[in-house]
Amino acid sequence: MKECDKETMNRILEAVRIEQGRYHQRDGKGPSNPTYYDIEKRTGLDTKTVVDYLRFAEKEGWIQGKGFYNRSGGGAKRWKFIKDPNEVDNGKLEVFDPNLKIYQCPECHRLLWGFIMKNDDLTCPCGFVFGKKGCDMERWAIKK
Amino acid sequence: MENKVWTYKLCDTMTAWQIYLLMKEHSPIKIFIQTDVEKGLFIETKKELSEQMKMKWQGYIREVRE
Repeated sequence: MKECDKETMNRILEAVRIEQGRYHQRDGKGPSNPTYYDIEKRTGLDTKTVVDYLRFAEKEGWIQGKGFYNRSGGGAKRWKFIKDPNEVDNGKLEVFDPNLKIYQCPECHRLLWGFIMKNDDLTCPCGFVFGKKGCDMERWAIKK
Repeated sequence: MENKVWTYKLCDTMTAWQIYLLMKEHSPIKIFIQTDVEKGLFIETKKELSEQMKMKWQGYIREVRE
């Protein structure tokens, strides 16, 4: 997933939580859960974004999917809300911060983690200061 | 045998955030960049990644064998 952020994930998780149990299967099996398409309709996000985020949330255990599309006529996966990442880890949600980058110090070649923030310097243990006097930190970012 | 380390190459498409999550789940991990032979970002760990972790990051990491 290239572009990801906390706000979008929260939006999608909220949509799953709201939409679950609101659908009825044609075979009369009772209430069912939303598919990516239902989430797409509710959030207004595009298919790729919705699918990518759903897959990520599934891996993290925040939602659970059942069923999958296949040629024999199975439907798209239906999603069920499991847990809110905002409510675990003492409320510290560590989900997607696109500002986090990996920088390489031009002096000692160490790899450093850092956030691009205005007026905030990132200093390497060797003493090199990224962002000093308006220096463009982006040029040292090896992983965005 | 005690000094054995596992090295994995990180897929170029991995974002910094994904690498952060991977390293948070399995620590300690040393991350390094290689500019010769096989270029790119690598991680090194003294403990092999669990099968669950390998499954989770399938397609993103590849074990490098000496």
